[in-house]
Amino acid sequence: MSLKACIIISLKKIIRNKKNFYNCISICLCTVIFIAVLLFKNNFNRFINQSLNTNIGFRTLSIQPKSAEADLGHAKIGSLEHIEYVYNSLYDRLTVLSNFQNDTYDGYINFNITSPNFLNKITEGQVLEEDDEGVAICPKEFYPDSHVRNLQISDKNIIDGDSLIGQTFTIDYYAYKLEGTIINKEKLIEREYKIIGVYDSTKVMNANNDCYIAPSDMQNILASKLPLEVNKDTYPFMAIVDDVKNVDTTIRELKALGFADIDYKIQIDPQREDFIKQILIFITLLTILGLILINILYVRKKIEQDSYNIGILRVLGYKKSHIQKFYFIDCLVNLLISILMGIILAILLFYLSYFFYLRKFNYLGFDVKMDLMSFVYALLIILIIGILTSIGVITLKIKKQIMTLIGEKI
Amino acid sequence: MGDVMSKNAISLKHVTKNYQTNDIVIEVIKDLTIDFEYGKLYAIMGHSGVGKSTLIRILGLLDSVTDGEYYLTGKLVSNLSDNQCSEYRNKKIGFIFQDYNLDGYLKAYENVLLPMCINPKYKGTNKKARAKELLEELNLGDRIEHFPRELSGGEQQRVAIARALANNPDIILADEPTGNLDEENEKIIFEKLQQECKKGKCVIIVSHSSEVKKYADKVLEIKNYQIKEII
Ligand SMILES: Nc1ncnc2c1ncn2[C@@H]1O[C@H](COP(=O)(O)OP(=O)(O)O)[C@@H](O)[C@H]1O
Ligand SMILES: [Mg+2]
Repeated sequence: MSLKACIIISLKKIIRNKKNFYNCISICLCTVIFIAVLLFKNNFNRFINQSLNTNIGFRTLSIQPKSAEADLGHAKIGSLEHIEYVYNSLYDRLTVLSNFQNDTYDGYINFNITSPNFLNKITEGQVLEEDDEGVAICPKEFYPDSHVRNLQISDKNIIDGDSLIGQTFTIDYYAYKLEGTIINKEKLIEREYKIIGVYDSTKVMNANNDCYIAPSDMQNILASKLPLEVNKDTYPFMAIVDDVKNVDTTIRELKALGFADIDYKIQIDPQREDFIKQILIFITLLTILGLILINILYVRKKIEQDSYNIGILRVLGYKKSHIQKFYFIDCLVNLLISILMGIILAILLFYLSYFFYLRKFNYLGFDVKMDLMSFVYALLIILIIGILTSIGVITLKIKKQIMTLIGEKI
Repeated sequence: MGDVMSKNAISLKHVTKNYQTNDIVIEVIKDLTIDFEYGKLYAIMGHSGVGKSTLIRILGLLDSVTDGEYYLTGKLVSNLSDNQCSEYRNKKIGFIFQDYNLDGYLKAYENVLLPMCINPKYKGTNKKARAKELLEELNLGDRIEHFPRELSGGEQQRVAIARALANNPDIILADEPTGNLDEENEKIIFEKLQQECKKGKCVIIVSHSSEVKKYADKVLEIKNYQIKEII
């Protein structure tokens, strides 16, 4: 039988047979799931890699102080070759309420301190000095709202940081006082800050409400906010390593100096990462299993329902091999159409979710992307599984004798 | 023997057919020897269950003989492989069934195309034109693009006849072709088969209808494992 005639007849039968529809939809959905899993996996890996390289937290170590030394080890840590900056973790970060608070923003911003070297690299405009007071550096795309953590940002409300340079804002907080063993509210303190520079938060994967202030300023705020004397010495040091590459060496050097308790400021939780990977594998296996089952049931049912027609074809002189070829092409065309539909659906769904949510990762400097290979792999996996199961069922099912196929009707 | 074969389209020599179900052996055809010639129309009659369909299936290479020899167009075919039988069925034999047996997902002309698709003789030729021609000969010129469900029983059976004739076979086998049809359609069909017979084909029709006798060159009856000519 000529391949062309075969394909033409197959196509016609597929289009005319409504029962193919459900199979098409199932395979189409499997395709979408495969593509989604692969896209998620690739973007997840890319996100982690990018974070490792750009988020300073991954090269910031948290080190328990050494009570034996006068400065608790501060100077020793700072003396190491790759350590750029050391500070007490008590001053690491503070969330404050600002006068940006209105109907649009809840007004919460984060004050951070960091290595001047790092800050100089990312800042446009004036930089911070160690003992500056009342000045801040804010993101270029500023969004003074705590919801930025969950990427709940509306584009139209982003504040252009450049326009903010030179402007001032205020924050207020309560000062507390230690009375005996009880800590009591003392008074409301208001402070004014002038924005002297902006930085690109996407380049370092910071949130859009992360601002930097001078270390001494942070100490002052905290000194009045909390009666620190009680426990200041028990906070670990934060040590910023100059490059992710040097983190391991630095940890070794610190251990050699007798610092025992060293941790990363941010670390990818290997358990959580494994869990995500296991879930992905589980979904993949389930989809493969589903695909095999759907395909076996479908091809079997199709051939069984068609057995009379197969009998007729045999009567007309079609060999078993003809019929096998016929059904194989039928299955293949069906598969290809379903996969094509799945790919189109996946692309549509991606753009939809990109438009409504995924694009918000750009505020973290991460662009969620589709990659060709995910589509190619999904296509290959489904095609191979589909073809193998089809061949299996077809060869098993088309063995029957003509009389069994057409029954006693002739 | 060869010269005798030449005018015989079909020759059965001492053919026996048994069906085995579980332990029971049913003997349906017993030591049957008979010839069917080219250019003749045979009507086979007989009560239900005497083995008419069994005979047609054997003649059509749909079922094998238990014993004996079957010569088709002069060649021994009783021990051919499945693939060889398929080729004979495609090129030498046209089948017509009581239930029309058209593929419901294919249009009238596409059903007629089916036997031609695997026949090398028609490779590269305009098969659709031939299918149309055959359907036109059966007064179905305006039904070419119709699906079987859109056709009456008589029209469907005429499509089935066009399909049986598609490869211009030497032998036409029909098992109760008019069993479900009215007299008018029966007439059209018997006339068409007679016309094909006049072209030199060997036509064998199993039928209950006594109408068939009008068209038959020979009327045979199966009774008590014997096949007898009654006209
Ligand atoms: N596949 C089969 N297995 C067992 N017995 C069969 C089979 N086909 C037909 N028979 C038996 O063979 C006999 C002849 O059947 P058949 O050729 O269909 O008769 P007819 O067509 O003359 O009515 C019947 O008794 C029938 O029950
Ligand atoms: Mg019968």
